[in-house]
Amino acid sequence: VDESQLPPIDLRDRWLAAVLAWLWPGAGHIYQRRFGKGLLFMVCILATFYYGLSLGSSNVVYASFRKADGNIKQDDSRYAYLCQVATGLPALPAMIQAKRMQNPNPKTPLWDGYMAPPVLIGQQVTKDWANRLIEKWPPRELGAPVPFERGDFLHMDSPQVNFAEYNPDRHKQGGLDYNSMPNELSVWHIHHGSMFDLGTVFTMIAGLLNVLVIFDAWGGPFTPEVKTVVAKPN
Amino acid sequence: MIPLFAALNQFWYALPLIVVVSLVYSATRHELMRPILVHAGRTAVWITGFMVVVFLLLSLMSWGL
Repeated sequence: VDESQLPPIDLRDRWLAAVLAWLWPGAGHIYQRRFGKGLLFMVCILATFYYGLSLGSSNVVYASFRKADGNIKQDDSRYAYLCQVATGLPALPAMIQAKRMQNPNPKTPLWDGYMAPPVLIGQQVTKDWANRLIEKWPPRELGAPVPFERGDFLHMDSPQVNFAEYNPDRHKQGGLDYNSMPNELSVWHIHHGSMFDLGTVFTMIAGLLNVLVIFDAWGGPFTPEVKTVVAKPN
Repeated sequence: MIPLFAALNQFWYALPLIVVVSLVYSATRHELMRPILVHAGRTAVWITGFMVVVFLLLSLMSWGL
């Protein structure tokens, strides 16, 4: 089939199509009535994203760009999220969770911690969340030395507890600095093993592919053979 | 060191990625389904070939380690 013989593709409002394509992969094309491609993008990208997410039990997608300060004692920069967020709405719960867990006065993450950032040393969390972490990651199943034990949290009788300077005998051996100490991210790596990295790769690739899809919704295919038209401004 | 069979099992995870990347990449270069599928087939072969070459190179470099 000679694509140069095709009638020009009506991109309608290309900016709206691009935003829709970002929000939900394939939605921009469906808005432009390019149903076949829209469906193909939706299936391919969402399947890749959610398969990756399932490999790492939702821990692989989280938004965290934190520097050690007076409170939190560790750095954590999740650059992978910059790719993952290009998948749009499916990756946005991570931002809600990051906002909820932000100091001061953090709230318990929603949906049992779906896409919540890991708890770092010194980070304040709610008592509910501290109890949930202790229940969720029993140290005996993971091998020592890893969080979380009851003694890892200070002030367990107050509403906000502090994951700080926990059990120094276990973690301060050999003059380790705070950044070398295990935190919840270490638990995830131990628990998921190589699936954590594979899940990260799948979700990042889903986001990067959606960048191509957004551009296709905005400007049509990358080929001079196919002509496009856009909606005239009113 | 991971035993060879265990390492090879992990290569299966590349299969869905190759399929998806080829399809989406090709669909951003064509509008009709037939040229998309033809281009996707060629892209998949190219990616697989590239991965095999890199795998062989890394295997040779790590021989005896």
